[in-house]
Amino acid sequence: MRRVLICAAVAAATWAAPPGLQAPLAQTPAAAAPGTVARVIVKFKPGSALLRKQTLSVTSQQTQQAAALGQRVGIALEAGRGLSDRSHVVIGRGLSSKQLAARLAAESDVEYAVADERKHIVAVPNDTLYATGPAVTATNGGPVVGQWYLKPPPPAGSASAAWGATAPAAINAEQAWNITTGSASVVVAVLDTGLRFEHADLQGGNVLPGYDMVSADSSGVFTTANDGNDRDGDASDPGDFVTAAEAGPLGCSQTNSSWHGTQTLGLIGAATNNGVGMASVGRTVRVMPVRVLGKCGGYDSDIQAGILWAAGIHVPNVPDNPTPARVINMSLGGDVACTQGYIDTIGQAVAAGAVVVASAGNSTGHPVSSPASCPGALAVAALRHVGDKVGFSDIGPQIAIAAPGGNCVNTNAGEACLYPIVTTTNKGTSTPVTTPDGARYTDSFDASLGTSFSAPLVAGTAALMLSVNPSLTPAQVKAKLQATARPFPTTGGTAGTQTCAAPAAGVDQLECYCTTSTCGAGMLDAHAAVLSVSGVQAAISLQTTTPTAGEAVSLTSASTLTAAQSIATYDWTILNAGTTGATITSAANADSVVVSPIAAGSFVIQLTTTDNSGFVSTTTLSVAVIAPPAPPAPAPSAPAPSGGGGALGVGWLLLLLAAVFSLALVSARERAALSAAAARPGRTD
Amino acid sequence: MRRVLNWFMVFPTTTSGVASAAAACVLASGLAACAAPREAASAAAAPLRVMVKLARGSEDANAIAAEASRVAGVAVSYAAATSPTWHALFLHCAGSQCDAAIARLRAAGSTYQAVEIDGRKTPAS
Repeated sequence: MRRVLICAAVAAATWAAPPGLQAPLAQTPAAAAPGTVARVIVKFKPGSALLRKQTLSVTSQQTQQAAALGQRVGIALEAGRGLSDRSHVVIGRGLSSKQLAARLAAESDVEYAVADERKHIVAVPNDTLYATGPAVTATNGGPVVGQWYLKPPPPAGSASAAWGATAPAAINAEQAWNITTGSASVVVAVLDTGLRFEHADLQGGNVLPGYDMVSADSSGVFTTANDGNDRDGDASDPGDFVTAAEAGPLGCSQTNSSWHGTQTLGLIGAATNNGVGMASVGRTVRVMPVRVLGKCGGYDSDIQAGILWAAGIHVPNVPDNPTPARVINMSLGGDVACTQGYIDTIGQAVAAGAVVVASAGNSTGHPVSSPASCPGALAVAALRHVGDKVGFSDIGPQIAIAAPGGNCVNTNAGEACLYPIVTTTNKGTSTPVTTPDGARYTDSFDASLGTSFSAPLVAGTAALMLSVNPSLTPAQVKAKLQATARPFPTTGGTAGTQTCAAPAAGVDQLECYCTTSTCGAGMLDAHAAVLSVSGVQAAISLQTTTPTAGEAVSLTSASTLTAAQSIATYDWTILNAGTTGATITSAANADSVVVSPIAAGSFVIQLTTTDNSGFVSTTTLSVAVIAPPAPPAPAPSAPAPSGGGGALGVGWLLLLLAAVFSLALVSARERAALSAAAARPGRTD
Repeated sequence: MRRVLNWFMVFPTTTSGVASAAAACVLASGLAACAAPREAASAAAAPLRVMVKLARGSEDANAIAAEASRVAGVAVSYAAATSPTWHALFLHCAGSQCDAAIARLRAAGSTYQAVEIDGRKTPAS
C-alpha cells in the first residue's frame, strides 16, 4: 500500500512539475510569437460552478468547462488531457502558456493555473561504465550490470529474469537527474584517506583542494600520515599500505593501499556524462577531500577536527575552510560507543547546517559502529541488489536508511562478483601510480564492497536535494530521505533468509530481510527524495513583534523563491487556537494574513502553498500571545493607607512637577532667544 | 613548520624522577634512544594519545600541555587541536603510569570536562 501511495505521489508530482525550476531542463520561451499555442494545467476550486455534474462524458464536460472558462477571459479555449476530476489541460492560441496561466489564475473559480511546459529527459549518462562494465576475463572486467545501483529499479514484483542491468535496491539516481544534476553551490566533504587528484574522471572541475588533517603519531613521527608531515593543505592520498614491519607497532594488518578516499569521493563527484569511466550521484556538486585516515586508519581527534573544518567551523592552527560543506561523508568507523568528542563535533556540524552521513560498519550484523551510532549522524546500512541486508553490514536502531553496498551473489574464489559498486581507484599497491594508466576503476574482481559505498550514495542524494532546495536543514534532509524511502522487500533473498533481528555484540548476522528497526526507514530512492524537496517550501514569518491579545497579529509567507518560481495559491488555517480564541480576520488565500487573538496563550497557524509547478508544501508556526498590559491605575487623590501605592503616587507627582518646571524654563529661554533675534539687524527669518 | 612551533616537551613540576628523566631524555634525543630508565624509554617510544575537553577553551598549545602535565604528573606534549575546547595530547607514560595519569586528569573536573583515549577509526570496507 505504501509503495502504491509513494508511486502515485511521485507520478502525480511528475506530471505536474514543469521544468521551469529545474536547471538542466529546457524552458519554453515566455514571449508569444504569432501562432503560439498555450498549454495550461487548470485546477478548479471544489465549489466551482464549472464543475457542475452533467449527463455528459468526461471529455465533453471538460470541453464545456474549457469553453466556459474561455468565455470568461475572452480567449477561445480547447480542452486537453484530463488529469483529475477538477483539473485538466486547456489549450489557447496567440499567447504564451505563462500568459494564459496568469489570466486563468485570476479567475475566481480557478484554484491554480500553471503553464504545462515541456520536460526534456536528461539523457542517460554516456559514461562508458554506466551501462555495463568491460568484458569479463578470468581476472578482470565487469560488472555486466554496470552501475546498476544508480538506475531505476525494476517494477515492484517483477521477475528477476526481467531486471536486466538493474535491481530492486537501485536508488534511481537516473530519474533524480531529470530534476537536477547538482549545484556547484553545494559542497560535499569526504572525510577519508585523501584523493588521487590526477584521476581522469576527477577532472570535471568540481573537486576542491580540501585539507590534510592527519597529525603526527608522536614528535616527528608520521607513520599514520605517511606523507612525512603534519596537517597541511595537501589532501592527496600517498597510500595507506601497511608493511609487515609496521603492522605490529600500529596494531593492524599488513595490507596494500586501498585508495579508499578516491573510491568514496568518486561515487559522489566523479565527472559524469563526459564519455569516460563512471557516473556519480552528485554529478556537478562540488566535492572536497578531507584527509583524516592513513595507515591503520586515523585518530578520533583528527577525524573530529575534519568534521568541524569541513562544516566551516574554526579549528585552531588550521586555515578556515573557505567552502563549508553542506554534506559530510564518513565511510569509516570503529568502536561502537559514541564518545563525547563525536557528540560535540557532530552536534556542532549539524548546527552549522551540515548533513553528516556515516556508514554503519562491516562487522557482519553487529551493532552500528561509531560515529554512525552518534546522535545527529545519518547512519547508512548496506543492501544486496535484491534489497535485503548484505551479510557484512552492521545494523541497529540508529540506522536512518539503507542503500546498496555491493554484493557478489555466492560466487567462489576467483569468480566475477556480480553486483559490486563501481568507482574510481588507483592501480598502485603501495605508492600511487601517477601516470595516466594508474587511474583505474573497481570492477568484478577488484570489487568495492562495504557500507563505505552505501554512505556516499546517500550523501550524493542529500547533495542533490540541497541543490534544488538549499534552505533545507539537516533534519529536514534526513526526514525527507526517510519519508521517500521504498519499503524493504520480504522475499527475493537467498533461500532460507530470515528477518533481521536486533543486533548483539559479537553475534554475527549474515543476509537477512531488513526491518525498520534494523536497517532504517527503507531503501534509498534518490528520485523520490529529490522530488519531495524540489518545489517551493512553505515558510511563515511573524510580522508582529509582540503578539498581544486583542490586537491584530500579522503573518506573511516567507518562502525562498528562485527566478523561475512563484507561488500560485496560499491557504492559511488556524490549526489550534488554544486559549487564544484566534481567528483569521483577513482573506485566507493571500500571501499575508491577519489573525486576531482575544486572549493570552498560543495558537498554531498553518500555511499551505502551491507553487507554479503544482508542488504543494505545508508548514506550521506556533505563535505565543501575551496578555495586554494592565491599564494604568488612576492616580490616587490621597496616599493609600498602606503606604506602598502612596509612595508611587508621590513619585509621579514629583515627576509631573519637574516636567512643568522644565517646560516653563524652556519657554522662558525661547522667549529670550526670540527677543534677542528680533533685536539683531539684518535678520529676515 | 607548525610542528616545530608546537611540539615541545613539558617538564612536570610535580612528578616522579622517572618521568623527569624520560622527559629530559626525550627532549635531548628527539624520542630516539633513551637508555634509562626502562619504563620511561618504552613510554617515549609510544606515547599514549588522549583527547581532553577543556572547561575553558584555549588555543595556547604550550599552556594546555603544561597544565596537563602538571595535573597528570607525567610528561605531556601537544599533539593537535580539534577545536578550541578539544585537544589531543601525548602522555609520555607506560602501563599503570598512564592509567594513573588519566585518572588524575579526569579527577580535575574544573579543568577538564572530559578525557578520552584518542582512539582510531578505519575505512568501512
